[in-house]
Amino acid sequence: MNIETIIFLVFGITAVVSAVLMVTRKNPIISAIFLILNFFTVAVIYLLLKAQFIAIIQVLVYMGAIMVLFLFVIMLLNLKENKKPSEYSFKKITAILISILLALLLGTSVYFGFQGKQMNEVAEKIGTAESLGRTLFTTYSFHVLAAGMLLLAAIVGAVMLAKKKFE
Amino acid sequence: MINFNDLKEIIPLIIIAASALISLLIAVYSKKSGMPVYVFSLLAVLAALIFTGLNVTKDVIIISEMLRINPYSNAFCMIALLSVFITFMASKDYLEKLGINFGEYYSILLFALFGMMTMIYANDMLTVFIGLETMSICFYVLTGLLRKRMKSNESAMKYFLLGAFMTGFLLYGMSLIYGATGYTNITKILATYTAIRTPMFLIGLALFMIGFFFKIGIFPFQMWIPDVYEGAPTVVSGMMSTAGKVAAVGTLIPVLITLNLVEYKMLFSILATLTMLYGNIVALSQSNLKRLLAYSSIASAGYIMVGITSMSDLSIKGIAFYLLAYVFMQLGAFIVVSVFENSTPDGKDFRNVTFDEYKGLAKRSPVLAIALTVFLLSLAGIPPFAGFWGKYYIFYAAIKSDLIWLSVIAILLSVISVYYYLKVIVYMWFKEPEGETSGEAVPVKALSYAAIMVSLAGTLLFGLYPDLFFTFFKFLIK
Repeated sequence: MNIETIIFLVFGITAVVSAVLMVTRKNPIISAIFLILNFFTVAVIYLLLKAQFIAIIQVLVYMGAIMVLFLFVIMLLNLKENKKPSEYSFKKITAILISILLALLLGTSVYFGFQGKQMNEVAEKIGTAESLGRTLFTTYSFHVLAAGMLLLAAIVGAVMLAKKKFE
Repeated sequence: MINFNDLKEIIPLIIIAASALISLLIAVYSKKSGMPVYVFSLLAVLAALIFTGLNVTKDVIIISEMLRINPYSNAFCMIALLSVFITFMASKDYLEKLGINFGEYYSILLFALFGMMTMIYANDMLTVFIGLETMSICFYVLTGLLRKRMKSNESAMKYFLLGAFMTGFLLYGMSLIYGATGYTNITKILATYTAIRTPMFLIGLALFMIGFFFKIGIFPFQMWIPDVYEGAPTVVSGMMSTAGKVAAVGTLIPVLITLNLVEYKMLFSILATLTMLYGNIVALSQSNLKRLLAYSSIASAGYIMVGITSMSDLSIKGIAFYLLAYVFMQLGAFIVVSVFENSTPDGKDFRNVTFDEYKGLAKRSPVLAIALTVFLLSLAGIPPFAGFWGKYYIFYAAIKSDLIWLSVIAILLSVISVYYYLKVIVYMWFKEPEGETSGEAVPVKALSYAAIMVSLAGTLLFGLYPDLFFTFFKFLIK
């Protein structure tokens, strides 16, 4: 077993376990923290697939920005702990069945679709930060500039609406 | 790759982008007076207008095939620039009266203009998307500018939520088209289109068009228009209903006409009919001029749809002329309404300015009444004004491509529209003024006056000499 397989197994299992734990916990804050763990493990799996850029974005945007927002909202809402005992209602059972079915479907299709195939060379290069940066700053350089204008307009607009003093 | 030679083709775009940034700085350094930023942005738009006009016959594809400068896109760009120019002229007085004359207003409007031009020049779906988003985000901000009025906040919120939702449709459509063809480049997609009329491509195209129909205000996606135009500052409503429409139509039409979806003509005709019906029938029961103009803008989206349905070069010509006329008459009408709103004694609070308050306007200030009458008659399509020729060219193109029943419906509905336009005119000319302000002239500041005069001149000029437009855009007559 080479080192990549070991890393993949460790993080893949952690991803599945943390996802299940996230859904089953009662306390929303603990759920959110398991979600962070899940995001991190998925980021590592992206790295293994040579998609550096998506891995970095996963860490920066999802783990950094969005999860902080999640946690803040949960804390601000000040949720009371739900004391109701868990019951195996119809809703829960259908939800579990559907998710198992979906997992089976996706798992089999991915397994049989990519069985014994290697990643081709082009795909290997696409995900790297280097190739993405090269494309962005050559072919799509106009769009980078235009997106800059878009973001600036959004910031100016937001500040104008929020900050201006109205007599 | 942007190389130096490409830059000189997009000078107007660069002028607008640079002036949007510079006007922000000017606004910071001249907080006391709104004059420097006002003059600067007017000059910037004028310069861009002149540069586009000088190079109107260019036909190139530049910047890694991301932008396409051709006579069509130049024509639509010039119309959008003209609309923003007239809006700028009228903005200062109106905004000052409401206490919202911020320098940032001008730079946001310039950003919006940058978005529109990017969109019209776009030759890649990614460019279309970024341009459309820049324009939309600026529109959301401008709609909510009257922060103290509930209506303005409400309309900004509605517009934002619906707009964001519709952007999702557009983006999903783009990704499906990319999936079906393997290209994001519009020229390449259009070249391969006949070979790949797959369901995936058609669904993608439908979603793509839904995104644009929302912006133009075609029937099932027109619900937001009256509320948004009523709540937004009046000059902004005028700008959105003209420049915004020009940008969306200017992006969509070249694509649709090249695709030549003859088998979907029936669907397009039904959409056009429903749009015209909805706009014209609902407008009959309105009592607020701003809402009336919003419904009439839905009706004109229907007339544009008639042009899209006929899918010929003749109809592009008609639509371009109609949009030019539309800028003058619709924007002119909105500016007159804005001047009138400012004159009401409690102009600072929101109030519905109903037809009743226009009673006897002809006695109070004849010039305003004449201007508004001309704009409304032109919107109705009465002969000596520009609006008539716009409708004429569109319906002519429709008849030429065997859509006689559609043109009959369109003409009948324009006849119905005369009723509600004339109602306002009757209130202005044949009723006595009443209320506390009766007899006083409506105060008009010099700059708004100039804006009204420019719109009036345009409506009359292109009404009397419609050939002027076609002599300038020689390419439109082939």
